[in-house]
Amino acid sequence: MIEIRDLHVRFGAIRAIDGLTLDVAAGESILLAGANGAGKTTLLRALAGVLRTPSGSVRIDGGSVSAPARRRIAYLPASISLYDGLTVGQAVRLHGRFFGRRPEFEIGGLRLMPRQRVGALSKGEKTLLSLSMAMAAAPEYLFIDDVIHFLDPHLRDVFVDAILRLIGEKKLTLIIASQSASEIEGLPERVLVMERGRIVLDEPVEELKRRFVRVFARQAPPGLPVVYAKEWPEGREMYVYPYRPEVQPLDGVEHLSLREILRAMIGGEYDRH
Amino acid sequence: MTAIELKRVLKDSALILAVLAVLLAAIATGDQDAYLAPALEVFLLLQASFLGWSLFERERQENAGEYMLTLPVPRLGLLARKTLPRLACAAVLLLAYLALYRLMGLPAFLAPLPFAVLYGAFFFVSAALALSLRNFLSAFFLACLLLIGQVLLILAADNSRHLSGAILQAGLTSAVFPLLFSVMFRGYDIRPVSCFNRRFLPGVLLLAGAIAGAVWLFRPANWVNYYLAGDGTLLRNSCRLSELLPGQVRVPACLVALREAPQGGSLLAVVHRPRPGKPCVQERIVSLDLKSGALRTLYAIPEGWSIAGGYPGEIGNFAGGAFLVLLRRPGDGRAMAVAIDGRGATETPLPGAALEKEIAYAGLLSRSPLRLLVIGAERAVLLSAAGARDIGAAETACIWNDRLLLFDGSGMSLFRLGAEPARLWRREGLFRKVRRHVAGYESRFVLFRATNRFVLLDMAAGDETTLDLPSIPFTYQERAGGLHIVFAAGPRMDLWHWRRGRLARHSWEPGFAPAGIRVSPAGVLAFDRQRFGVYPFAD
Repeated sequence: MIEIRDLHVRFGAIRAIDGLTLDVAAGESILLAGANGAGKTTLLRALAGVLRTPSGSVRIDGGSVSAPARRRIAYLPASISLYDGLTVGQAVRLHGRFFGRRPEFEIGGLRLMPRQRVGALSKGEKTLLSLSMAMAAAPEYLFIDDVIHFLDPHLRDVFVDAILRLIGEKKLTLIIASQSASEIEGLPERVLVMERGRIVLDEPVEELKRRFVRVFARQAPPGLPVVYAKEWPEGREMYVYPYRPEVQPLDGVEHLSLREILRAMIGGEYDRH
Repeated sequence: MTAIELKRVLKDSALILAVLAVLLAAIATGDQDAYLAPALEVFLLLQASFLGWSLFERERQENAGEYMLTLPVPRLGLLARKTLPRLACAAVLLLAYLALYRLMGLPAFLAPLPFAVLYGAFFFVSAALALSLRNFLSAFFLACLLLIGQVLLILAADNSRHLSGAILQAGLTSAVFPLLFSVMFRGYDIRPVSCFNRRFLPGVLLLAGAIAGAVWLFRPANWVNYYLAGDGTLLRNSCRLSELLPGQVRVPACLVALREAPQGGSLLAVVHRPRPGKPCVQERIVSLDLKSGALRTLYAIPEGWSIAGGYPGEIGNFAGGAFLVLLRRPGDGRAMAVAIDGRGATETPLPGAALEKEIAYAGLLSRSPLRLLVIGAERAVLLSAAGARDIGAAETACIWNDRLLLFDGSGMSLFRLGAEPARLWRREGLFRKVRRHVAGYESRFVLFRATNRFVLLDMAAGDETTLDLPSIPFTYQERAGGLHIVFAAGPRMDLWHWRRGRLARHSWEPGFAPAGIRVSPAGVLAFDRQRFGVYPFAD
């Protein structure tokens, strides 16, 4: 169980996290979305204990993100931070010494050579090595920053399958930040959208898909909650959330994929800027 | 992690070890030890600094900082795991160097202990700067500033401190920097290092300022002169302060004794004004109350003038209710006698050009007409408004009331200084006055060597007594008709009290090796800058 209360993180004058409060139940899978600079990485870093949070609290299973708690956490940062000077074998042994079991060198048909330098691996290979090391430790919490775009389509499937397998094996709490929701559509059961250090949307995926619609019309009915709109010669393309047909029934309503919903949410955010 | 770090440190140190080996080979085979051995020390300090500074270099180079922070280890544990291999490597190198220092007898600049402390301090201070400064040279120079700067400040603040002691103090106080770093590192995170520096570097500057302030604020008085008055009161002075003991009455001025008032209780002294990088100037003549330390200015010495030489305690004379002292202006050779009494000061010009450049003693013979006895480096003269009249050659002298005993290269002569100096007798031969170290020229008794004999002459009575002394005394002093002879050798002093043909012997160890000894009728004073001891003379 993750409890975040009134979290504030500032980098000089910039408010990276601005009074964020959030509860995540054990075993939940969450997709963290938002425009660049919305605060996703900062939030994940605070959860992983990489970032100190002097204002507000971050608690995991009732305790702070201390050294013993970090043993149950696996974190894949966007920078894929590993000791590049070590060989794959050394990196794996080092990780195993701190977190427990050692990972396999073969992931989804991709075999990593133990004598190969970590620094000589491609970004995708390093991402898989990181994931492999993270999974080997059987973490209870897995926080993944936006790393999927480093992977080719095949390895993205391997990556998602590996996470799904882990979720299946044990009650894993997953928070994954990604801009490419289409590849991980099956993973999250809840979506958080961040904007300027705050959570502006927090919905279960199915509920979001049900209540987030696209509609074309010459003119929007008054009071329609339009998140994002595009002007076309033949009319307006409007993304509506939350859509309540019982209040304002519309014709030609389209339900969207998660990727389209997030694109509209983020586009709407830029509109508001 | 420790093993991986150790491998990395050994790899990084390989080049350093190679350079050390080359330096040692050059020292062992060549004849340039005097240059190479200190170079080796500097190189080792550089290496210690590098080992400390490179604490997080790997994370910086390999982009592993974020991974390091995810490890389930407390920050201090992380710091320990990173530091220990480096510390072990540094310790092995230091021990190897110290062993070689003993075996090869290297002509090192620093002794083993201060070097080891400085080496450790460079390691830890540089380690404290490991996160903040990406450039090694910047870290090394800042470590130099914090350590060498502190050593120089300690030496400047305390003139009795040795380099080794200053290094030990600086090394120990520098532990605050790694301690501060350890405390701050507990809150270290992935934020840009500038965020860490915003809190850490002001702390470093604050601590450095606090250390410098404490060193300066609590610096000792740096006593340079001691004077033991006839009543046993001790006056000591530094360039900015004087102190009367017992009682520890402090006077914020550099006071050098001129002469004690005949009625006792006060001392006439000259106030010196320090000038940075230049000799002090004499500012004014004051009367100092020996109990309360109260100062009363009697005469402001004009710019460019100074009191003509002499030993503290026998400068100037009291006569007819006035204190009279000879002043000179070295720039143009002018001289004047200044008579100070209750109504003020009277200046009487004198023909100073006739005097020698160095004046060892100037004493008043009569006020009306004004006549002074002036002993220079080579001759003794009578000085009056009419001019200077030569008395004779004087390598050294002894004065008692109107008697003057002069020693020259070929003999010694006794004069009576009346209206005209009259020679009472002269002896040809090799006579050497036993120099009364730090006790001046005025003495009723004079001890001299005639070939292998030591002879004591009572100038008042004209008696001479041969004394059987084991060696040349350091000094002697009469008191109440008796004579105290002081032999000084190292930390021990032998004191002989000779009175009416009877001799009593004592020995005294002040508990330290004295840097200076003074005598007065009150006793023997031994001092070593900040420490002193008094052996009182008994009647």
